[in-house]
Parts: sequence; structure tokens; C-alpha cells
Amino acid sequence: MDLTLYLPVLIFALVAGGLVLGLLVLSHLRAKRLPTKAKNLAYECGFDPLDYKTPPFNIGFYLVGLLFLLFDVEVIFLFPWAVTLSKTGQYGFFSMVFFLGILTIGFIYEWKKGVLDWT
Amino acid sequence: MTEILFYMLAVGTIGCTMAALFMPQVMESVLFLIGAFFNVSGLFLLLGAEFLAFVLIILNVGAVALLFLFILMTLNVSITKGGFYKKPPMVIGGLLLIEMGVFLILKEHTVPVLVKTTQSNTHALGEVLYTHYIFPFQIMGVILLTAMIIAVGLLWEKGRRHKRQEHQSDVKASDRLTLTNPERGKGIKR
Repeated sequence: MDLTLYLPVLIFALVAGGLVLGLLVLSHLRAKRLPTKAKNLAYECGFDPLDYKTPPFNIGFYLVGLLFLLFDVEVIFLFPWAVTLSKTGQYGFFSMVFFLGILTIGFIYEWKKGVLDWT
Repeated sequence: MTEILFYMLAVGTIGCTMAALFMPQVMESVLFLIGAFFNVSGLFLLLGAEFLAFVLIILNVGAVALLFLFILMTLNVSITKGGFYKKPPMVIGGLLLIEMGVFLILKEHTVPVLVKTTQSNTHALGEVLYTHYIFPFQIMGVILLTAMIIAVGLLWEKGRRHKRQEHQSDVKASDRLTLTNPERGKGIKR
């Protein structure tokens, strides 16, 4: 592996990070700030906010996120498999098919259970 | 050049992790955790583990950190940590650190060396993962299936799309109201 291939990525990351940090520091140092209580309040239409908690969030999103994570792992395993398929041959091919088969059981279970319907 | 990068990333990792531990707001902690993941992925890149580096970003930043954010958002509590260093996680972390130190002293350790190969990281991984390590790979599939079923079992209730936090868990004992029917002239004893 040739690390110099990543030099543009490094330069990009440094420039982007430097720009963000620089602007933040500059505005922190140079900007004129006159904070008042009303300015610091969270935006509400004309009245004081009732509480400062974050609003509760539907746990359905969490379930979808978790399932996304699991299928994400599955897809990650597909990358090295696809790259080396010509070398691993039939054995490698069917090992992946079996792996996908196991996960498809889970997928069918979710589908039948109705987890994937968002209504 | 590589040494400078290594020290930058190492300092970044430790700094981000410390910030994740000691930031007063949990949200900020999660963001610093993401920063730590990015730094560790840079370290992987320096070691030549290209595939691992990007998997770390895709999985840990793209999915795991997202789950952490969701957990914080589903909880209807404004969590401010405060005094984290007094709590059990710190004790466990300290014990692990001591264990690591003992391990490093007792065992002869070798420094990982960047092996020069012509083939890419992904190739090298793929060639052994699906043939030589086929059983761990299949067990991986079964573990993922189990995780899927457990996730559905924990979070899914038929006919009730929105599982909610019990409002009672957010209420202190002093906030509760009790209805009593006191006898005349006697008042209420608590």
C-alpha cells in the first residue's frame, strides 16, 4: 500500500479542519458580542420556553437505525468477497451465499413481523 | 512525515477520548467520540490497514455513533453527567489500564511493522476470510441474525408503534401527589 496516495486526503482534511477552526477562533476573538437574556433563549414564538429538555424522540427510529447497522455490517463483508471472487472460486462464493442466507432469514422475519412498514 | 502524522493522530485520539469523558453534556461527548473514531482510523491507515480504516469510519461513525445519538434523543431526560470520575466506569477503566501496564511489562512486546506487499489490504483479507476462516465467518452471520431478532424483540410491540419512556421514571418522589381522605380533626401523618 502506498501512503502517498492519501496525501490529497490529508491536505484536504487539514485545509477543511483549519478553515473551520480558524473561522471559529477568529469569530471568538474578533466578533462584537452583546448577549442578552432574550438573545440566548431558544427560539419560541413569543413566550419563554417551557422546559430545556430535548423533546422525546420516537423509538421507532432507533429500531430502524439498529437494523441499518446490522445490514451495514453484512454489506461490509461483501466488499472483500467481491474483490477476491476470482481467486476464492466456488468455495468462497457459496460461503457468502450461506452467510447471506442466514441473514435473509432475519430479513424475512422482520418483514413478516411488520417492522419495516412505517405507518 | 509518518512520525509527525502518528503523533498528531495519537494526541488527537487521546484528546478526543478525554474530552468525550469529561464534557458536561452527553451530546458533546458523542461528537468527541466520533472525533476519536476518525483519529483511530487515521492510525489504521498509517499501519497500512486501509480496509479496517474505512470500515471503522463507515460502521462506527456512520452507524454506531448514530445509534448513540438516537439513544440520547429517545430519552426524555436532560442528562448532564458531572463527576464522571467518581463513578464505576472510571474504576473499570483504571483497572483495565493497570492490566495493560502489567501486560506490557511482563510480556515481551513487539512493535507492529508495516509489511510491504503488492496486493491491497482488501484482497489479502478476502482471500482468507471466505476460505480459511469460513467458520468464524458463518458464526458472524448467526450472531448478526441473533442481534436482529433481539432488536426486534426489545423494541417492537404489535399494534403499538411508539414505545415510550415511562413518564414516571422522570418524576422525583417529592413531585408525586397522593390523594388521602383524612379523618376530621386529625390531619395527615406522612
